[in-house]
Amino acid sequence: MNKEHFLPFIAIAIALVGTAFAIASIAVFLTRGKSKFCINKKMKIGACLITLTTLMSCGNGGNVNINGTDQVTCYDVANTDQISVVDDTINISKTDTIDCFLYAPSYEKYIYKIVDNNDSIIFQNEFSPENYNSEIKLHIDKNIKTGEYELQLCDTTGQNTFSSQTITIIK
Amino acid sequence: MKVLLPFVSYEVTMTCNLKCRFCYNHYKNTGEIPKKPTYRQIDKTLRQIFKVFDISQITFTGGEPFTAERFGELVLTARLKGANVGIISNGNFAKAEDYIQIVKLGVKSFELPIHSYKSEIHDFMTRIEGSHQKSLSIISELQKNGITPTAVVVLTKYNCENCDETIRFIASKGINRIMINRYNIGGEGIKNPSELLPTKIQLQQAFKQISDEAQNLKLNITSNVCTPICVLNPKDYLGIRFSSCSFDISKRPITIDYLGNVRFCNHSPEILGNIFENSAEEIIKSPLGKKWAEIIPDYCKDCKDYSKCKAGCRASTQQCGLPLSEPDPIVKIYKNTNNE
Repeated sequence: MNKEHFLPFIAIAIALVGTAFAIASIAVFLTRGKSKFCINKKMKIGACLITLTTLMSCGNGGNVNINGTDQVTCYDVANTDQISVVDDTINISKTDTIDCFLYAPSYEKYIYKIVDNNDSIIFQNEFSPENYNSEIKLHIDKNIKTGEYELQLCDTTGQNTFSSQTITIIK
Repeated sequence: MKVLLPFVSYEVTMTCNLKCRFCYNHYKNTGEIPKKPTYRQIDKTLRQIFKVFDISQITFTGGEPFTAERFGELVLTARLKGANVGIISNGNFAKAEDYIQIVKLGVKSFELPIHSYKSEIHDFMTRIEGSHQKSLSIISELQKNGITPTAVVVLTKYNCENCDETIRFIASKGINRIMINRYNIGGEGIKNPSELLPTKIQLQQAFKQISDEAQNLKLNITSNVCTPICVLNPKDYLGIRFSSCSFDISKRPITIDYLGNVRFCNHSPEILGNIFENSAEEIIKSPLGKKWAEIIPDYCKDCKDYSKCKAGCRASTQQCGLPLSEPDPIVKIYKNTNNE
């Protein structure tokens, strides 16, 4: 059975749980947040509501970054499978490689893509990291035109992008 | 129209039950202990954050966030708004069931401290006996519920020797994601930085040990407090991923406190605006924020690495009462003293 078949039932369940949540919230308000019983009910019903809305959206309920963020900032968790370009300006007349670091790889093989402003793939290739956190050289086509592109690191299906960075090709 | 701000740290309280020697919270520098806010106040600010900003990730911090009144309900509100939630906790205030209640809301990102493999060192750093054991106990409870927290190690002179032991200890607990935050001058520790600051050589040796362990044990280790490249060059520590301070506001750990004051990051004391008094546009485009990008410290002007390093942690510069024309104070401490 398709997911879509369940959607009307999930919508009804959301309406019912949503009503229960509103009642629990009112109970918490009326008891001025002093009743642990009411707060516990509100929390449990709230958790149920989050689960249902997650199912409804067929997504992950806002948990897009459960494995961390691709941007390492003070006190924010870093993601796995991240690529960092050593020099984001590549002189194509001098080199056909992009020097990068690959951090926390969790796959044996990756695809890297060079994508232009229109999301068109200009170049694509595969590589396998030899070590855990390591310096890697990504070979690119010498005929790529100068300009600004996105270097994307994806799984071998090419569907899941782990990391993306802007690079500039010059001559 | 809402302003896009992907990552926000929300300081729900300034209250904490530990007395960490290294605590970076800027108010510790002022000598004033802010009054504990009410649930109503914290909730009002939280809702205002979602009203003015388009947020995908909100990290609850403090103080110790669990000391905030009805903390679970605040997390519930954020989750119902569709945000991904992270919690930075010391693992010492709330009971295991309080953490599990939050896990049931779909929260999967928890950061808890393990400063050393030795309880006595961890407890010395937090000034509370038994804090190491409590943190480990909460980590274990989270793991039983399918969560692998991130371990946070603040590197001071007290725990940087044998830190490879600490990394192995953390890995033995089934944790593969570790944040190594060098002690950053500010807050509680500002009174006497030399009491906490390892020498440059000690710091470099510690990072080398940690980097090697990261490679050996295949750990995801990050150095999250931005550090001047002349102090630690990321190229020498390939096992560790280093952060750098971005001037792009959307890539910064913008921090908002329970009064609605917006700061450049959790370490910076400088207020860019208030979400109840200023528009989101005004705050994001604040001239105070632009100064960070425009002012290059004299010390760094001829440095080829400045574009990556950006003079280390400029918030630490601010906490020390120095102008932005000065680099991270760690640079000159290491240069001017025998701390090399």
